[in-house]
Amino acid sequence: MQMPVQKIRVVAGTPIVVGERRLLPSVLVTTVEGGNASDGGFFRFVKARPVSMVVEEPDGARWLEIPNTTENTLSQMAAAGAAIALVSVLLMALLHLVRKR
Amino acid sequence: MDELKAMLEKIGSIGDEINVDAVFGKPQTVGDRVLIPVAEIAYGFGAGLGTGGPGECCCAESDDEEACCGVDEDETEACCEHDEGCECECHDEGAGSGGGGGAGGRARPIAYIEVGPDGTKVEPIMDEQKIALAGMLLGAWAIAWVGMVLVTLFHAITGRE
Repeated sequence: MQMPVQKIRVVAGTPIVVGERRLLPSVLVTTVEGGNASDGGFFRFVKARPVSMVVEEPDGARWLEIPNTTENTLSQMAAAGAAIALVSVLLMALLHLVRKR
Repeated sequence: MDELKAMLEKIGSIGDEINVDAVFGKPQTVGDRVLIPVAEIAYGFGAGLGTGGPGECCCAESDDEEACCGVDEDETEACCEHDEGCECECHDEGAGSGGGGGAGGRARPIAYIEVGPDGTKVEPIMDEQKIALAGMLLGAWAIAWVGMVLVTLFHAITGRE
């Protein structure tokens, strides 16, 4: 059985032309695959996330980031949760110390 | 079985054909603006097949109780090649093969690109349901920790008294 392999690559998309503007998108593609069809089984998981877009306008090119607001907010909430736990543990340890004295 | 394997290999190569067009949708004109939907896509699939219970061949003379049995027919027949009247019998009962597979995918809008007379801008889309659920979880998590700290504080105070 082949071990799962993870591949991460940035893929440039087909340019989108809107009037005088030309948009060049790029996508982050994460692939996890394992097994082999000839060995009896395999699996593949693919996730494609837009990363950025280069906008070519008559007055020059601009780079636009495409943020994943939901994921960023969830990460911040997870960090807040970890901070709450850490501060609480420190406070409890401090209180135990005070109680012993 | 070879056809099945070839089919599985073909299914396995579908992921190579992923293109960015699946992430950036078709531009839509709304008034004097053009909106391009942007989504995050994910999909996965798996398949497996197998065979089991290969048939067994037994070679023996009819009055001989000690039979020579094995999975490989040629190998089994070789054990009685010098004995005349030795007969081989092969059984395929129990032999079989099977396969199965599954696939799933999802697409979630994360933003839209607005191209208008005043320029090009990215407008993010927030999954409010997910945020609300995570917020409730975070609230419960915070209450639990604060509760534990208060209990410890209470014990510290009463312990001193």
